[in-house]
Amino acid sequence: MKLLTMLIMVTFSACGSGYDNHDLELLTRYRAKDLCSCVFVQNRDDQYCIDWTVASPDLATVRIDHETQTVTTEAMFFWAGKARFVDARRGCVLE
Amino acid sequence: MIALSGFVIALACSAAGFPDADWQAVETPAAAGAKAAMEAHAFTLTGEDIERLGVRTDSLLILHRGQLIYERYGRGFGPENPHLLWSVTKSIMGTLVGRAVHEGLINLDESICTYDDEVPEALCAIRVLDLLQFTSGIDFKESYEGERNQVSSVLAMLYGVGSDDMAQFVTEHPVRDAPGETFSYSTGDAVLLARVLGKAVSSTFGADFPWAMLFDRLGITSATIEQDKAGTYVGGSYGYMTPRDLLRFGYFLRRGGCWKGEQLLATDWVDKATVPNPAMTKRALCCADHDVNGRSFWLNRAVPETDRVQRWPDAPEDTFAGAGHWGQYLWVIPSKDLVVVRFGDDRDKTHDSNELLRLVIEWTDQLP
Repeated sequence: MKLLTMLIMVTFSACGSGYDNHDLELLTRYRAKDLCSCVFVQNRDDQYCIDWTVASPDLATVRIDHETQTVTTEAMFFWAGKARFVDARRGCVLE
Repeated sequence: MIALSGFVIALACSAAGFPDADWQAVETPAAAGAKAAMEAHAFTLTGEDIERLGVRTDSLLILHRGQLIYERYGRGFGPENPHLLWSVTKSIMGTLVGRAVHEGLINLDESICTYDDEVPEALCAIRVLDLLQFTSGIDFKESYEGERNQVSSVLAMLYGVGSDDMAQFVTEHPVRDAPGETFSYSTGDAVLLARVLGKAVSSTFGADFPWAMLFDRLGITSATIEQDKAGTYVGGSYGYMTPRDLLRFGYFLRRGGCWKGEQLLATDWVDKATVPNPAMTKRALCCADHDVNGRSFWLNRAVPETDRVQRWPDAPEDTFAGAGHWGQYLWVIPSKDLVVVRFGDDRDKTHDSNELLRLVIEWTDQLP
């Protein structure tokens, strides 16, 4: 998989053939999921995980909530992602 | 005679040579030049970390003749951090199928519809074996570098329209080729396999079957396998483990499915999983010209019929591996009695896995 390579190519055009997902939808959901797993499964610190999941251009804002063990992301006031840590075996799930 | 002796060795599942609570690091005599060259190759960072340039190794562990002779971490990782396995997860799911076969719970030649009543009839010609060796024929677009994100079935499955119920999403795709005829590496096949396997074994081993069937038996305590909202394991991508725990899995394969005196896989399972699957000689649709798969393991064998070349030309032909995005590797080299775990975060093409293996072998060949 060349996930990041593809995620990096963020454009604002999502028309045409293929799956009905806007680039920013994929980006925010990818980021919520893997940021959640980085912090709560891999046990790395917030800053490392933010850097590890950043895509260019950096359009998403992220929020890591250690109390509820959730990560939320947002881009351009419309696209958003949310992932929640379930337990040590199941890790994080996208909501 | 050779085949017979191999058979005898495979049957002899002894309790000796396994780790107790954890691997004990063993000091090796200095082999300064070769070891230093290996370390320099693996652990020299280029530029600032955020620039994501060059070889970015997070951990390198080497098990030689069952002993942990090398263990080093980078970029802030340590022995306690489970690492994302990406597609190494597929090799673990494949081995869980081997466990299920050994327990009599699944048959490779059966239709997947025998076990999974949610699979549409149009896909009932697919056997369990086809998912295991990526010959389902399902038209799943693994990825196309340089194309738009919306073309990729993988992105849609993991984060987009297919993410709530990934196996269902896979089964909504049309059949492109007759099952068993064409090799096409697919994360979709692996996810569907995870659901089929779960339905076959969960009445015996429960929803946590990866632990009950394998991880707990091997003393693996750090494993995570994430699920989608429907409860299907994301068996193609989202496994996590510490490097030491992945070494346990690798050593289990090295011992032919034996762990501490107990044979947990059919004695010929690993051998059969690590030769090119039959479709490799017929038609291979994907990946690079060095990508040769057995049954969910990458191999180091050329397949002239489909112009496939050796992936790691400086390593022995019996080398096999689980390999994942951004530089995750579990290598097993039976002829050298080596198991190597290398985790990383390689974002460009700098990392040369053949060179790393060459240096590991050069060093370990010098050990008494």
